[in-house]
Amino acid sequence: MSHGVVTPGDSIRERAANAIDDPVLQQAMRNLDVRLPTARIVADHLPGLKDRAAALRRETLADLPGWLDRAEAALTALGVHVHRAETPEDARRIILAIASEEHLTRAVKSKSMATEEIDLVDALEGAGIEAVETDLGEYIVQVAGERPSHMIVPAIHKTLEQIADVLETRADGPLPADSEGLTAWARDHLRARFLAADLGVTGANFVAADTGTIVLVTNEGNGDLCTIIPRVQIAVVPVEKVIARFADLATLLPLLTMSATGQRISNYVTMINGPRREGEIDGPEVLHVVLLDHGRTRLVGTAYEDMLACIRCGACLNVCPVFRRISGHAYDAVYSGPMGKVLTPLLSLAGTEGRDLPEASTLCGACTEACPVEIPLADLLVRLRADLRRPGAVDPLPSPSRPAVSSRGSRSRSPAARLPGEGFDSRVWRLPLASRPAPWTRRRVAFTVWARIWARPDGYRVSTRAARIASLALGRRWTRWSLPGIRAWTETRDGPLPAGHSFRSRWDKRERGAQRW
Amino acid sequence: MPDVALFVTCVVDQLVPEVGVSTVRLLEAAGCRVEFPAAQTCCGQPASNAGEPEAAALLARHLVEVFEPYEVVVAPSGSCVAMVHHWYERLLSGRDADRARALAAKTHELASYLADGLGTIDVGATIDATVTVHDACHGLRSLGVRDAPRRLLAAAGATLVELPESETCCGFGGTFALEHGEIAAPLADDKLRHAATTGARWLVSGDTACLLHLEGRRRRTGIGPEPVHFAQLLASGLPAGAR
Amino acid sequence: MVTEAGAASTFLAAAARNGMVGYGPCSPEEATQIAVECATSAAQGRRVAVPTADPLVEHLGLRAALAWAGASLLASSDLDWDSEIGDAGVGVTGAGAGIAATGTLVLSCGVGRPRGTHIIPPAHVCLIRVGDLVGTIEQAVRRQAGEPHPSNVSWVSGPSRTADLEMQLTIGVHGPKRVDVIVVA
Repeated sequence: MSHGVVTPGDSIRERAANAIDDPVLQQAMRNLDVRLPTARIVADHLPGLKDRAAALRRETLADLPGWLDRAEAALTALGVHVHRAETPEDARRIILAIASEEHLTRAVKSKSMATEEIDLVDALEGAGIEAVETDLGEYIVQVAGERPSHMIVPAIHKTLEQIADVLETRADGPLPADSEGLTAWARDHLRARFLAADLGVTGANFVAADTGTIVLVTNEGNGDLCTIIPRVQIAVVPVEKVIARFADLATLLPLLTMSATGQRISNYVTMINGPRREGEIDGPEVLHVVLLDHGRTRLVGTAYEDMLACIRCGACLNVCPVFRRISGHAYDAVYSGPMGKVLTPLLSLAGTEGRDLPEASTLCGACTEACPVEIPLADLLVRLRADLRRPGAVDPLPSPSRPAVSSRGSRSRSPAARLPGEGFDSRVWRLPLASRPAPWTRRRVAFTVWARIWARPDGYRVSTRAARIASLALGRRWTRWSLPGIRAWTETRDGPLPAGHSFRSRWDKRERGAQRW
Repeated sequence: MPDVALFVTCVVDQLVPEVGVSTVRLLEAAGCRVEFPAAQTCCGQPASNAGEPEAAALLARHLVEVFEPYEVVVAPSGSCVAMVHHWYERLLSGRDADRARALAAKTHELASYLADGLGTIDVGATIDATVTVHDACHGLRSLGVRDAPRRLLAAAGATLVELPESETCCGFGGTFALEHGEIAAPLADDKLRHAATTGARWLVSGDTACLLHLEGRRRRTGIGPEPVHFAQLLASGLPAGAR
Repeated sequence: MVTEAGAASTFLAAAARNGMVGYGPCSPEEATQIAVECATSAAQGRRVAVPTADPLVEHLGLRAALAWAGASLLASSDLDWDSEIGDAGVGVTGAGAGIAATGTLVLSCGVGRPRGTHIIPPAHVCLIRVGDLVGTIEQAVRRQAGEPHPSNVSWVSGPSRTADLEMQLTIGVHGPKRVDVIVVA
């Protein structure tokens, strides 16, 4: 992989520490603060839309293979060549075969996380095809040799000065470090690539199963150009992008754009219904759709099915306190932020990627609250923490048709008063937690021993007494000592010590009639 | 005069018992008779969040058993109450899950119990200070606790200044604070810096663990107002002489 | 029921918020005159790209009016369209529908209505009949769902923009830097 290392480190912990120690990155990330309220804007401007969208997404997931077949039939009827790719390798092979058959040499790309998943730009360039990212942010990270750090704002980790430095490597002279000047230069520079391209590569925000419509959402207009100018278009479409009906766009489109950028609608929504038709003078003569599975359909019917409802709006990244500090590259994965922490280990066919990501969350629930399609991200993170310690845990869990664990009927709130993550009856809790045994690691032994002791009142009393006596002897409530087990705490914060007298001992004193307790 | 069983939480019991004492004083000021079931220990959240649901279930089952006989359970922690509400029925199965649901239905976070459950906005305390409120995450997002502490503090005469990004996490996150100090500390800095801009004397919140994390950081940097549990601050304004 | 005047003012207000320059509602004659002025001023001596089968453009006689005003036209029937569209100064189109709430133009392609007219040149002049405005995105989707689907439909809600550089809103990335929209009564 040619992607440069931007935030070095062997673990999320090391990379996070490096990201936080990078003052320029920290300065750049403050620019994201303006996106913090997008979730609230959705709630204020589009009441009820979240519920409808969540239900629509689950409707397709409930029969994903069926909707995919319907989408394939509709696309084929429009004259689109549909391919199914199980793995990134399959997808690359299919696309390179098309390129070779059509003698394609110059590709322009619009933004697509699916093409990041399959490292398509590298594959095209390896086959001698010039491939240019045309979304401005994507172009910047491509020139820098990096990955996008945010799925909506790919170069959010860079300051204007850094961006000017990056783009100057492709310019004839110095570039101004202002957004107008850099944008104008990029427009002129990329214009020539658009006009010369014979291949347009896009993703898809949605594909309607009834009409075969491929929907692209952009603000720059590069999606339109990628499908209008080149002779051949290839859309790489992850399988969960399929929606049941064209009419569902009425709900999903405004929800996507408002969650992503706070706009009621993006500047350009491009709806493609097959290649150019008889008598038309532009648009792709040949249109291919590559349906990318990459471990997705195996999640259907598992506790993690909800993750496939994701519409890639980035709202969970914008509100995540951890993401806002460490930025996307610290995750060392295609997808970052809360959804990336869940999706990366789930998509890892080898089962090796992103296993430490779910730990790097405060479980504050801001992501669950922000998610416009009601994915219980914080719950999924907790469940993953448990399941990733169990062998083969990300494989489908047994029997999705198993009777529901809970009816969730215990609290009767009106829909308006519902709390984040409560709205949708997620599969994550229809399957029992800990459905398979975990191996006895040191960590598990420690937690089990602790729980066994503390599940008994006398065990709790005896085990806490020693700590309190030590603390009484010290006569202090805070320590700076780097004690084993709390080192990561005391490196950065004073650590609290037990009070000399616990609440229960003071309560006992009161029960004995003491006035001051 | 409602009977209330105090679920004091292990953090308060062991680390800041003053919060427990203040909770009792507030509940009594609001006319409750407080009982303290001595067999209670910990809700099990550290194990649950660490991905050790079996260990968490041991503690959950114990807590359910301890509080089953009581009518109303109140805790000075949004997070521990959220654990009971959101997680217990999922950690336990069968009849235990039913018992967990029954416990959740009668378990309340302190501020919302006073303000919403009892309708007691004025507990008779007087606070002459400027305060700013941090909405601790689990109370806010799992229980919907937002206005209650503000209303109680305002009724006591405190001057409330809104905290910028009051709903953003302080970086504690349970085991996260122990395992990811590199992120937890800067998030505490953000919170303390925001609090410092308000000019408040106190940074008030409803979860002791978050407050200890913030105070631990503040003791290193000297930035920001003193973090304090709202129960402790509010009870400090009660007239002397309450038992 | 939304009145046409109400829809037009809602549409123009939303279009202005999106950074488009709005005119009208005006008579067909006025609309033609404004379109010609907008197009010739945006073209800056370069060619004016115009479809040959756009119902509204044809209805207004806009191609003839542009030619009369001295504009150099690049018509979609011209054999050099492909090689010249990249150098055109402005594209002129009608919109088959518009969304009042969001200030959105709905542009459908077809024979004699190429996809590139509105997006390849650096400026776009668009005409829309007030009667073709619908209120909301939902209504627009429903209407579109019930009609035959052209090979390409573009919804345009303003000049091309980006916030990729330090989240600063910047106009005119790949598509038009200026969009004039004229509502025809």
